[in-house]
Amino acid sequence: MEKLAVERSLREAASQELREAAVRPMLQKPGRGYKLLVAVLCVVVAFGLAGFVDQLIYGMSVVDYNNSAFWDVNIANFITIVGVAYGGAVVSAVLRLTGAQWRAPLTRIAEATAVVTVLIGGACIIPSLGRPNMMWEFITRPNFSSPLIWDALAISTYGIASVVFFYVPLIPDLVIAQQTMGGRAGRVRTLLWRKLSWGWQGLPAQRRLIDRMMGLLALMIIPLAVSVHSVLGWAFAITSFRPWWSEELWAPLFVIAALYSGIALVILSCAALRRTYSLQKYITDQHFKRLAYILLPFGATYLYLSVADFLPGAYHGEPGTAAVFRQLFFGSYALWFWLVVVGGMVVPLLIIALPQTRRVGWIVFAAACIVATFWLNRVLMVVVPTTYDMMKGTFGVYSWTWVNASITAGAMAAIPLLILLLFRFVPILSVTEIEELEKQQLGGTGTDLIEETPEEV
Amino acid sequence: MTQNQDREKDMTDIRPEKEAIEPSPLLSPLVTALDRVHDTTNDDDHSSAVESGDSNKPRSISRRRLFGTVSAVGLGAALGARVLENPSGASAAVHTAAVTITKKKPLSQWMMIVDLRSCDGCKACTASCQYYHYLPKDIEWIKVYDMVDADGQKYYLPRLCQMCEDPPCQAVCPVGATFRTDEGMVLIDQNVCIGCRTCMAACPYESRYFNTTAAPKVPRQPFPTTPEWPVPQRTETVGKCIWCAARLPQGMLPECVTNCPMGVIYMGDLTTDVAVNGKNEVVKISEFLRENDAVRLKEELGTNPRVYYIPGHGQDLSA
Amino acid sequence: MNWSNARVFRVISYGVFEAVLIATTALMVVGLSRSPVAGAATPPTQGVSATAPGPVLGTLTVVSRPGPSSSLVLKAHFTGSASITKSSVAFFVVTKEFGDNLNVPIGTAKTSQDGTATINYAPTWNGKEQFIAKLTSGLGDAGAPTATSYHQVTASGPGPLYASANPLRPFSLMGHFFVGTILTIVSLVWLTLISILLLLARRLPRMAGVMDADSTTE
Repeated sequence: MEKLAVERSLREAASQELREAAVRPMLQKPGRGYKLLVAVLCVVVAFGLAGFVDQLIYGMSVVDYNNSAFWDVNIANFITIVGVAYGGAVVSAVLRLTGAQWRAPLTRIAEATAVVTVLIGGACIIPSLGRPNMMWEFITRPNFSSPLIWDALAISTYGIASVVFFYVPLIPDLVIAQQTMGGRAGRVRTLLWRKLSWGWQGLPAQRRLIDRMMGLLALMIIPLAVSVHSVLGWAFAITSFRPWWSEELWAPLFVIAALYSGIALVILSCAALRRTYSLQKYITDQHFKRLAYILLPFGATYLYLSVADFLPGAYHGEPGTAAVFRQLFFGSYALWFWLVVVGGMVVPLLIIALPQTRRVGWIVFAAACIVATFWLNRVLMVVVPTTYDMMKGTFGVYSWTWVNASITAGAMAAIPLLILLLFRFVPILSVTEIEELEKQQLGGTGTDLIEETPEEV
Repeated sequence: MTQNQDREKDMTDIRPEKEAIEPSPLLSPLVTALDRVHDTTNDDDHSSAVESGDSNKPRSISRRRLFGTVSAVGLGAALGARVLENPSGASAAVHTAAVTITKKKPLSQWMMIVDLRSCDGCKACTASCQYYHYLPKDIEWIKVYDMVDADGQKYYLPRLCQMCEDPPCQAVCPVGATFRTDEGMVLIDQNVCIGCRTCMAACPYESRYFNTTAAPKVPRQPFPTTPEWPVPQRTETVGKCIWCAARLPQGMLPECVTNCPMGVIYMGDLTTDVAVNGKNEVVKISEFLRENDAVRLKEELGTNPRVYYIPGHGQDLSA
Repeated sequence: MNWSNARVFRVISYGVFEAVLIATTALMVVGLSRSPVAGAATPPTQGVSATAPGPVLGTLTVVSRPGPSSSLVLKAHFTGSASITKSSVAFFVVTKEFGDNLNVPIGTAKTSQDGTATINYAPTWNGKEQFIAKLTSGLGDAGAPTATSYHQVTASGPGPLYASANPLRPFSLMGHFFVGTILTIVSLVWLTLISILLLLARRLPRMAGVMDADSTTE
């Protein structure tokens, strides 16, 4: 009897600690480093917006546009940032469906990253348009034989779905956050949480409803995620007769690249947030190793698909394809191309494969390499076939200006900024899920903790 | 005006009706597939529809247009309608059936012939086109490529818009700014274009240009820009060679044709089988093409361009 | 200057000949303009003799070919001081499609023993067409004797010469089903997402309300 009581109080203490940790980003007084970081990010984002405004006012001529390189880094940003939104879907949905228990502390971060990146990524296409003010025509006069319409449909659907997927498991946590923070939450957050939690009381019926919805959403989000990147790949493969673009392999290449870099981004954001908010107790080294293990097959698959993509074209030597591949392998883009191959595939995979380097620091380094080089990879994928002149077989010159650079930097900086801001409003760990899984592991009946909470109010 | 009407008709998804010989909905795709050699065009059976009195029937919508009409809202209805209707938008040949004879001249089907044998690369066509359409120097709607053939011989390849019968640029335009008239002219409505440049990716002839800078000093035009007379070019939209679409109905030849001192470029009409160059040399298209082994560019892509090139047979063309 | 008798005679005869020719032409033109042939059913139109600078006189006759096919027969007859045999005659139809009158070549034929060249021509639509025959052998283009004829085409031949390639790609047959299916799926996804949110927004408070009600009754 006494032992049980002790155990129970211990568990209560642990749960209180977990809750404190989950709301730490909101409780913690922002330190100097934090403020500086946010300020720097804000400046970079503002600079990016300034670049976009400049382009709006003075037209595409300010991005050093020339007709031989008609698609530029904006498209690459778009693909990259929408692509890393995959991490959320995978870590959260796939692991949920397969019942991997260790996922629980990661899901919130992964889903938040997905929401933020899909929104920013979708927005990245806007500076690429000549007349963004005419974008409403996508709705009023769509041409359904255009892959771009399907892009827009797929990304908007996926965006909405990932917002819902982020929001639904958040509902119980909002109540928990309110209980944990009490008066410290402030009026805005209290109001927001009360409105958004729809009278959540942790009743078994409510829990069942949410579980069912989450099961459905997890099922839906995976094909949606696959479709988004397939459509993006087909937007190149279908649209154009350009060499290398018109490869049948582009859709799977895009999907695998997105999975690969998406998980890498989840590793990065988990590492950064773990450090910032000292969540080492919940996000352990083991988590990074497991994420790295997931990275391994995707990286290997990407490498394999790349070889499958290049080998036939390079072997046949059809003039256009041969010219583009030559440009990639040995031409003016060779440095970048081999940097992608080595820095984005060989080195990270080696780091993960070797037990000596399979430590958090190294894994984070590998993930950073992957995210950076896969952005570069997308730039190459967009720009090199674009500059190829299909009539004459020559290559145009692609160049950029501060406008492109600032828009790119702004988009990249907006990701951490929005993630940081988001966790000022929502708990960073999915408390409910962690506790539930713990209880399952303990084999307890697990009815006490959450159902008691409403009575405390 | 007639051009405009054609365009409006095209943009409101109405194409001339086409009836299959066999209305069997299941078999007709097959029939069509087998019969494709003699398949009629989208464009030339205007009058047969009028004659057969079918103009009041529900119009079958051409393939591309259909994509545009099916909206998410009216989806079910559209689907049902499509299932019931003859599923092959393109029907079996009309003129292979017992011939109803055309009573009036059909719409012109414009085409061009470029006789590479006499092109000396003077680029008068490019200059006159740029002058006439008020284009900046780096936008060459007709571009003369300096090429070197397999034997190391230099030759020149003037590249216009190929006015494909199956234009990839039209298919990929997300907002339907690029369209094809009943006379086979592929034009851009720059009031609609959003400047996404997907069409530039799609065009295998690199004939599309994005307007970044304003046109050089265009005098005030009597009416706003139209697809047939896109002057001045709207900035931040895509433009391309239009075969001087505004001049053709008035019996005027395109600027590049009239200004070519060598008579390289012929403007022709496939329905009348007549083509003429700037030196008023008239040829019978079918014979001229056959006798001179004319080719089309990138035939293997299936775009069905309307520009025929007569290769130079390796002569030294450097004047 | 060597004015031989024969030459003087030739000049005079040419003059007379020319005058007769001009008179005939004028009469013909007047006659033609008086009797418009609109709607007339394929009468063999009389050829109009055209002026020839040389001694050669040409006539062009256009008649409908008998039989179901509605092609025309163009007969050009050239006579001159010497017999014109085995000379090639080019036939043209005049078009105004590209502005000025342009002679569109529609065929060539060699003259027979009696100086007649014949071709078949299948017009494609109705209208009054001007046909020209030009004797080309051995003469410069400018000096070639020509014969002109107008003909009202009423029945026409194989229809427009142009037929679109109309390529059949897989999606031209099932593209709209494809689009319809995917759009249906997408709209179902949207509906599901919205209904999930609506369901949560409606059911969760109600469940809480039930619980509250229970606790108050207790």
